[in-house]
Amino acid sequence: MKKLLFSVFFTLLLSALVFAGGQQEEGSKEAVKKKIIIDGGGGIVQFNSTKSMEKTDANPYPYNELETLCTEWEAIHPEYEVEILDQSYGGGSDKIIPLLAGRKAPDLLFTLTINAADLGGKGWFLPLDEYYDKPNPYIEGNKKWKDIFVPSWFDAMSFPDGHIYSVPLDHIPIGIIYNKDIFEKAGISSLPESFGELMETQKKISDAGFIPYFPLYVWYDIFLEGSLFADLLPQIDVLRPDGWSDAEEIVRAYKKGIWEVDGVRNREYFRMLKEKTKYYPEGWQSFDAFGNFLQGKVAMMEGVGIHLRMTRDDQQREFNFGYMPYPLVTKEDSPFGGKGIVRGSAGYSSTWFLTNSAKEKGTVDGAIDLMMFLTEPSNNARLVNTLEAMMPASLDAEVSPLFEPLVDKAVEDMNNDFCDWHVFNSWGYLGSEYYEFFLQLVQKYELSQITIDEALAQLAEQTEYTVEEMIQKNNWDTSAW
Amino acid sequence: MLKNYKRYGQYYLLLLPAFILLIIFSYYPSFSGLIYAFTNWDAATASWVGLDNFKKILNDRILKESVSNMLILIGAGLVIGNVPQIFLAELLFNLKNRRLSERYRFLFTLTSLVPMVVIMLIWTQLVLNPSPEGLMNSILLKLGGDAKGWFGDPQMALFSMILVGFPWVGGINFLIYLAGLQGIPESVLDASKIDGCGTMRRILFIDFPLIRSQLKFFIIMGIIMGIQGFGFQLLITDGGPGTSTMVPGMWMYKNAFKYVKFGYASSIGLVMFVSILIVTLLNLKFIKSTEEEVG
Repeated sequence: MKKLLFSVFFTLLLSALVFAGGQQEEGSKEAVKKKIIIDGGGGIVQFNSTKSMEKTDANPYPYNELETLCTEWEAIHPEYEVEILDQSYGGGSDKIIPLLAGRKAPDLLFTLTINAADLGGKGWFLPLDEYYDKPNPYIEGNKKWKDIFVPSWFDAMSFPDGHIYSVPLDHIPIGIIYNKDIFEKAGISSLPESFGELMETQKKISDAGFIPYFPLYVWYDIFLEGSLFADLLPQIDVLRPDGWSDAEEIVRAYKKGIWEVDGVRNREYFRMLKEKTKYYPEGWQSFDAFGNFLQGKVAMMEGVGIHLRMTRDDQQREFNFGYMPYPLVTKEDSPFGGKGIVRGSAGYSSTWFLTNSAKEKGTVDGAIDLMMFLTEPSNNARLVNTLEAMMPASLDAEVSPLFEPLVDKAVEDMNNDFCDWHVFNSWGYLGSEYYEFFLQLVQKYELSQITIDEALAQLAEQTEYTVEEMIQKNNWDTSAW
Repeated sequence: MLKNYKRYGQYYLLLLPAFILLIIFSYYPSFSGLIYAFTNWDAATASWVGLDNFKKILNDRILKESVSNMLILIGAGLVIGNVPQIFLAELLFNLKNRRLSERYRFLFTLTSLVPMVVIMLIWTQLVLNPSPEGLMNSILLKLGGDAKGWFGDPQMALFSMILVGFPWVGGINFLIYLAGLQGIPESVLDASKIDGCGTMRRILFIDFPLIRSQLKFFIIMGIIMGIQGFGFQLLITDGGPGTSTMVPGMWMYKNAFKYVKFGYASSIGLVMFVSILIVTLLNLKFIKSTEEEVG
């Protein structure tokens, strides 16, 4: 009996091995086409096809535009086959590091540039600089592929080593969604245009018994930092003068004492960060802001395109809503204010990286061609606008009517010579450890766990450590500074 | 030896696949982690940095805060994971009506079928929701108190975590304590009755000493799980607000998978491993199980 069990076990094991080997061999005989695998993820919404194209309550936004475009591209390039994952990995480094380290990532992988900066320099992503200097064959008369993107936003995708590793597909519509009915009840007739007016508006709404304002992310914190540091740009943006401060330039500014962590300007930034939270409700860190906004309890909510779409489409909504750009920081608000920042868009969001898997499989050229096809303005508009959550990355692509007022505002601000959204964001470009440290620290300060002196002292310590680490990790030549 | 192998060789061979899988998936990662703790491994390359990671641990402010949070959570976890369970097990053990006792046992065990993630979400989204409509805040407001920020308030976030699952009765711990009580020989209980021992004296001097094995098991496991655990933080709080719910496990995870500092994360893991080992050895030395006490 025992011998019989033993024989059965090993026969099964052997059969499994032989079967697995046979499968592989059979598969390899069929592998005539080169397969490009796409993760399909995005910064705010995914491009993966929905399970069904039937619009229902459970599936309110059926989508398969990426799949359709890939099928069209396959028809032009029969030597390739494109596979889009059913579900994106979401760009989280905990998911993608094992894939990249094991060379099993999709050929085109989504992750946010802010997450990816720590993953650079390991050979996991392929630099795309040379491809961006070539013409996009799908756009008539195009000389360089990179010409179809907003130059400063495009530059802001560069890694600390100076190379560009990703292709942008969309950019983020951003601003403040507000409840018109609450504004009326609170006797507010004009929208706030400056930080001071925003605070006055919050007070009036709070006095009327409503929650005045709520953030969903730290968008306005980025906007505030840019507003307060923008006038230092001529001193900071010197290594690669392009209208924004990259990681090396920020580190150089720190080393040269231009950006002082415990200086007066940063102290002002922290003061305004806390002042902004003055009328926030108890426990705001775990508050369901959007849910409460839709229920008509919150007057203003920072939101991106998807929130605007969801507010518009919400069947339960019983109020009228509007959309306004971020109030500027004026000289009256702060001695460091007065420099405008472009509103309406927060720059590129869904960035797809070409991975080491593509290099190993020999699909690099195909994947690049596919990305050129997807960023061709009319294709880019189809890819992005169907979702009504983002705006296409290509400059000439049409924008969804829902976001047109935002684009108009961005263009108006650009014409007024306002600075770019990325003009100075110290904690956004010094790696994810510094990024999280900053956010934790600001939370502690805003919730009065620590004083401003303690906050700035801790930040100074972390900055010193991060700066040295960045210099060492990126082999920056400090003598050239 | 050879004779033994000939006789039992097939069994060793049958064990081999499981053993190989254990080596690949359990032993190899653990032992490689020991080595990586002395490097600056970033998932692609690793250089030897000696004791640098451990020096950094000594100056790591967030790690220190997380250890203090962990100790509070372990202390609270040991109390709420054992006291209500023993209390409930005693109540049911002393219930004379056997049929009723079985029904209660069923009802109390039923709660353990609800997935922990669901319990976490119910508590964060409904019970301890910071809005005035949150269940607990509604009660507080009705009673004339103020609404609390719960998980959004750094002063209350840890306490809110401890509150999750209140009144903390039922589940596996309760069943094991009840089984321990039911395992006490009838003769011992009869003897105590004849000697005129009251319920409280019996609980203190007979029941407790005789369920010490279970208690020891839950104390050791509670400490180990408390040092290792970070599920709640990963799913709900992310260690915040600020670092108010950060624990070493979460900090290790963040260093590895968010900051790509696998070497430093390995060194935190090594320190956690050594801590668990020391605490377990101390437990084994100072808390005697029933069998050890008798034997």
